[in-house]
Amino acid sequence: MTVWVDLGMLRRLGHDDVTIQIVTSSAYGDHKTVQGLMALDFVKTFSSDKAEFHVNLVSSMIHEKRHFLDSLITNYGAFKFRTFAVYYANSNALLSDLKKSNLNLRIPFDAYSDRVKMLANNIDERSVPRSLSVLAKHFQERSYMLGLENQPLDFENLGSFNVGGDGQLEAIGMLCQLKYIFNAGELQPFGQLYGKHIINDERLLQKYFWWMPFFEKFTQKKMPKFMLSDTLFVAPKMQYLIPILYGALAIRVEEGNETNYGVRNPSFSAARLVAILEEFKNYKFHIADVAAIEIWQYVNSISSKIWGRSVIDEFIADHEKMKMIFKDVQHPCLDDYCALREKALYMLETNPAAIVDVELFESEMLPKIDPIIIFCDSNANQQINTEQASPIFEYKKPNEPEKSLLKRIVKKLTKKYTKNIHYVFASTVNEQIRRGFLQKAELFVDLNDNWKKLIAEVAPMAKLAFWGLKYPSPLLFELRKAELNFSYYSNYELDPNFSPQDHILSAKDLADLIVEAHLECNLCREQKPVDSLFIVSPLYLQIVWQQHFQKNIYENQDWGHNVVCNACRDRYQIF
Amino acid sequence: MVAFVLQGNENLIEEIVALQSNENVEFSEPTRTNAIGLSLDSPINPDQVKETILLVTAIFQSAKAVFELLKVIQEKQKSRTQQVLVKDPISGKTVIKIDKDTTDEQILSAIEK
Repeated sequence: MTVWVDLGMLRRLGHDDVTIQIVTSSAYGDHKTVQGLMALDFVKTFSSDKAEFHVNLVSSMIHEKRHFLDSLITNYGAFKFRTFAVYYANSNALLSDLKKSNLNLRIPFDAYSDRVKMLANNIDERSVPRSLSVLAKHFQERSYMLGLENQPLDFENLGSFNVGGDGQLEAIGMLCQLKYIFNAGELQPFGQLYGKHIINDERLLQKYFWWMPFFEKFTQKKMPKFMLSDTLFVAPKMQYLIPILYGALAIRVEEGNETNYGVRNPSFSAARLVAILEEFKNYKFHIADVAAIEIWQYVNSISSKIWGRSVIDEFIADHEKMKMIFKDVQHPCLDDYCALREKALYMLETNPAAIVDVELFESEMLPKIDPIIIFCDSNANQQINTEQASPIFEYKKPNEPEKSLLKRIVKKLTKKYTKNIHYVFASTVNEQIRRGFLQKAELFVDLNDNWKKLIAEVAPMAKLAFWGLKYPSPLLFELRKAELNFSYYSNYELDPNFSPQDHILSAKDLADLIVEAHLECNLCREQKPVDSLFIVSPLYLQIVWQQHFQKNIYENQDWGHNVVCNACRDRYQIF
Repeated sequence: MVAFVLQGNENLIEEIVALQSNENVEFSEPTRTNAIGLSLDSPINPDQVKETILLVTAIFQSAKAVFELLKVIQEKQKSRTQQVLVKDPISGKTVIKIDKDTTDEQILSAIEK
């Protein structure tokens, strides 16, 4: 439901305010500003690398908006939403139970998901509230299902591909992005650049165009390919992709009894895809010459034949089931999600071409889609104009007078006055301005207090409860805030078996970021040359502090870079 | 009772769990530790397709049962390049990494600690 734009990452990659303006303008469809900025920037820098990056950035917004639509319509997308929704629905009961119990809560909740794990972690099963063990079991099962759905498959020496739900959503997102690049006026001059970028990047081909060899294998028919010469990149017609993948994403997950991973299993996107493609072996037309709407009708008939329900009927059946699940919960955000999904499904029923035909999607659907866009920055570099934007994640610490007279004098002499601390880690544009940009939007939720609470309070706790520090949040503060929220209800400890990934950035990255030659190591507090320091995530550093010093680093620590020197890295075994 | 967490790639852990619980060793349900399928990332700096890592907790009735299971894992590793990490469930510290070069002595020494 939300699109996160990591402005901190853009800055770390070395991009300036022009890039930030380009991405924020493209988020709200302000194409005129985007066009002007990109042209000006290209003339100024003559950098094709930068232009290529800007094309990627602007068109990524279309990619993400398509994800928003597919997450609403398809059963796989809704299944992912429901994975977290179970936490939203039960969070009040859970927190109330935690407050009453004397549990030393282990985060994530995995340790409570079965008897063996509880025994191994010295947890007395009788002391665990039922709300906690039920959620823990739910998370364990869902993560297993999502893992099975998205397990990489080795594909005949061509590499390892994700052909499951996520891989399929990514393929659709990229198709819409590519179409936009070649159709949109402001990006057309840079289209060839982007085409070459795709062809030359193995990771992009693997992640977004895996379906080309996959379709050939299972339909046993030649698929049209990209053409690239020195001067020209031509993308073939790929209008058949969305209808086929929609057929695959109509998984049946809430009805049980479909646990066998066979090629005709209706519970797995990859299995459905293989079964649908095999039916295309006997298709009498060349797939690239047929209109998307006709392919959509054919896929619906295949689905009816194999699984007894057309694709659209699978979507509706899943939605009806979801409404029943949410009916007793009475959570305003879940009600909003249901209403939005109903609207999107109605659009698919009444005008399917606008959704399954990539050409029509851009003109007919794109202006109607408006996810909540959150701009975040882990280093809290955001300058917020409160008339235009409102903070979603912020940290305020009041100005505390220095108690020691000596320190007060030193501060005065060195002019180091204590400032009010107010960090804004994430913000979103004000609702009034958002509506002004997107007057044609139909698929959106109002960012009211319920949604703000969900995004800033409840969802981070669900992410932490589910994955611990392994959750790949673009905003470290999001998980830290969840920790603080849990600490209000219970003592807690972070399960070290779920310690964060990618928590250390190299000395080279740091040297690229920092102008100064020396910085203070956050552990030994000595000034060290920048090229001997490493950036460590604040969350990871906190674990080290708790382990070695038995105290919480955040009492006196700001949210800038946390850097450690080589010597401390060895001493405290930060690897 | 002794408990360990075994961490390794999906196929390896599935094979270990398939050995099934008995009176000497009991396995938990496996957990996936990669945050797969939760959020969709952008085509800017896309992640590479990653292998799936599973964790499974095992409780043993005796040190002998631990040795026997770790020996089975060691045998399975002889034709492979990956490792299985054997970790303490509470501290998360790695007790031993088992790969094709791990010896019986190393296993015994890790269990004694």
